[in-house]
Amino acid sequence: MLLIVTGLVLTIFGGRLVQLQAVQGEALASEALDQRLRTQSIPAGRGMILDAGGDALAITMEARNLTADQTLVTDPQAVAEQLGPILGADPAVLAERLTGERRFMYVAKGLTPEAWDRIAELRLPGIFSEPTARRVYPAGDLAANVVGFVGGEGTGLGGVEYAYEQELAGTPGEQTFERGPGGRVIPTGANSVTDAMQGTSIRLTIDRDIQYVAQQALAEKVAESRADSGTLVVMDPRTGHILALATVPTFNPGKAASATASNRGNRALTDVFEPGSTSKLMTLAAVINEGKANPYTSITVPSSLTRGDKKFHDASPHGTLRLTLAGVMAKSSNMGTILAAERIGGKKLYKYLKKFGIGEPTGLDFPGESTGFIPKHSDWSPTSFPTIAFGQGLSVNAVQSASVFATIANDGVRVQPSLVDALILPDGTVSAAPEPEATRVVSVSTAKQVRAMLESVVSEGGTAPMAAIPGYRVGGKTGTAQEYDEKCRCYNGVVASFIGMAPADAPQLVVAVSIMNPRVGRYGGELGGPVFKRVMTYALQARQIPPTGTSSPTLPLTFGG
Amino acid sequence: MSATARKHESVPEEPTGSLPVGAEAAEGTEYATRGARGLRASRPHLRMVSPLRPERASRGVFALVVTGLLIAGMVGILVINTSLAQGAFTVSELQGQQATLSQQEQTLAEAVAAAAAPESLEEQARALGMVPSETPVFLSLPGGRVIGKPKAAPGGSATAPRLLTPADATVTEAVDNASVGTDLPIAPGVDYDPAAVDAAAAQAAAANNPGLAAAVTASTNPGVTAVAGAAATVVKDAKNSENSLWGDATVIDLTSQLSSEDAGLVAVPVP
Repeated sequence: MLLIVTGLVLTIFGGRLVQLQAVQGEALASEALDQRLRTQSIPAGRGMILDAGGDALAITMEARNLTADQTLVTDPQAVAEQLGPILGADPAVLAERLTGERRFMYVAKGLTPEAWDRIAELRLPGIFSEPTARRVYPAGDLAANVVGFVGGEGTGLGGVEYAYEQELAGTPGEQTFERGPGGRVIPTGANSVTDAMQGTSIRLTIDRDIQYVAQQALAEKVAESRADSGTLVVMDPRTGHILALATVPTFNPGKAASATASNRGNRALTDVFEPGSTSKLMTLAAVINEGKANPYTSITVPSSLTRGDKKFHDASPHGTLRLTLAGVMAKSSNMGTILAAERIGGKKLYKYLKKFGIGEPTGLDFPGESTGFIPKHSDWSPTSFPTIAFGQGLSVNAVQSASVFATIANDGVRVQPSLVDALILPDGTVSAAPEPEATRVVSVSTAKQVRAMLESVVSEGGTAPMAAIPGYRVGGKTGTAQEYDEKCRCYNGVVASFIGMAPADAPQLVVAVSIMNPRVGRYGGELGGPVFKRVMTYALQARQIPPTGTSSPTLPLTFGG
Repeated sequence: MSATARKHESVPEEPTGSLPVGAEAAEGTEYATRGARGLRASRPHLRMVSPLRPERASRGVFALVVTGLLIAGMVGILVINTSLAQGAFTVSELQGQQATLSQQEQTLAEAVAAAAAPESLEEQARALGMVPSETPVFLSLPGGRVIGKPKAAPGGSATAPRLLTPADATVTEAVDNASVGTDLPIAPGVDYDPAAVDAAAAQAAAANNPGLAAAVTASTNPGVTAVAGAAATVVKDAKNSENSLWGDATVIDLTSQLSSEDAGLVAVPVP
């Protein structure tokens, strides 16, 4: 009897043994390995965004996401009370997240390691954390509209963060290892590691000090004039480097979610407006370059001028004026500009405008950039030519208009604007951005003559004496134009602008200020001029550009008495 | 090691050494039993059977050796395991330490970055009584020519002056040198130590001219303010070039050049 029972049991055991070892053996072994094997992603550190001097504008820090296993939280209310003050969150909201049957639930994201340390010390059951990264913008809203921002997953959603996502992100690594029930790594088990590739850092052309002053000065003026918005561009005309690109209102990239989309974008590139009088620079440069006039050429400007079916006036009514070409620029005469432009005709004017980069991409490849608009010459109506000549009926963004002045500043050679100076690879090698494209638009002599005329604008007889900087030769042009709204294809509001350069005889800096829809004040000289002066003054000091010590030419603005 | 050595020793020694001791009786029996076979070869090498007894005697040794090996092996494993475990502990301890330190480093780096941001720099500069200059002015060296039109910066005296620390010494130095005007104690050579010089200058300024600390900001003494700014630019240049022009007496020339009309050359841009 006993023998039979023993035999039976042994047979069952033996059968089971065969089943486990021979039949299911392989499957079970691999299942066991699967249970032991863990693959953990090694996050790649996101590259930094630096200013031209190497100071950080965006860095990545270690952080923790707080998670909860709701089934292990015995008293959600009490736990929430303890977490509340550390997280700076409402305990009631936290309690809600801790109550339920879910085994995994995010309680809070992006905690600082110190905050997690404090929570860990409380030894709260069911509260865990996972490592993650936190994007920090140490300078706050400084250059925020250039730098951009990242979303909840840490990927770039705006600005350089978005445009250079691939370079910044790097490639995450992977570690595969066997681990025991306690979570410890089994030392003798399989173990393979693929290292993470750190992201590439981006060095911008932005100088954060100039950027700061630009942002401050612009914000104050926008608030003072109760304007809708404003943009400011500082450029080095010789390299095309954008040293500052400020837009107001701006946003805090650390709290991008709470900012409106239009404030997160970059108005200096996404918003287009009619250049207005600042465009006269292109027209007059074209006329001079074609040899049809010089700064001394006399132009008799009537009180009104009819072209096509339209009667043109100047901003302030006047009788017949006897202006030189320099006077046309200094007084910003619309009619004088039309009369000068007629010396070269519409076809040539169009050709020059295109060469100055109107209606062309800036080359910055910035997300959401608008190229502006100029109708094709073949589509021009009889009134198109006169209006385009003095800056209406075409649209530009702020960087494009700064680039036009930079071309004159750089002796007639247009250097494509750039925002990124270099990529810094994880191993520290610096790969400089490709040389920007440079094209000659007007001759050196033309550029010099135009600059001399721009100086007369800032003189006492011009429209912007408030832009003058004591000791320096400054040239610039005011603009007060109607804002062209591409959506309704109509005029909507006013853009007051001032774009200038210094030192006028050997320009090293161009500053372009535009203020959209001001409600207090209206003219480019009074609104843009002081902002230009403040920013240019600082930039000259910051870049250690001394005055040239030469004196401005005194061009006659009128003729014949 | 020792166990195997012992084993080797015993092989050659035992037959020769133990044979004479108790061989007689054994030899007799062996000869009797094996008889005919033994006759053919009556040479001494019949010894070969004798190992039976010595073998028995060596068993104890062998057991001892094996036990020794076993114990040594186990101890070895124990030692290895212990050291492995200890290594693991050290690793995790160091990893923890590393994590803490890297956290600390990050926190500090973040704090430095925030403190170095232009906004907080401006705040701190203003707290020191500095104001942005509205007229960029440069001092050309050598020669001490002033380029630009110096003009007092407005709002300079808004903040109460405070005693300057060595950190502020670029300005202090300048104030000191410019106002005393007679001695330029700093002739920087290869071993020029800005920190030491700064500290000395700060002390000198505090001791000799207690009022001068205020002069940096006070618009009531525009001449001094002017020189402070200009000289600060000189200091900067001097530090930039290895063999600086600092020893040159250009700064004194400057003081004579600057009339009170040139007041307020606060050419110390907020960095």
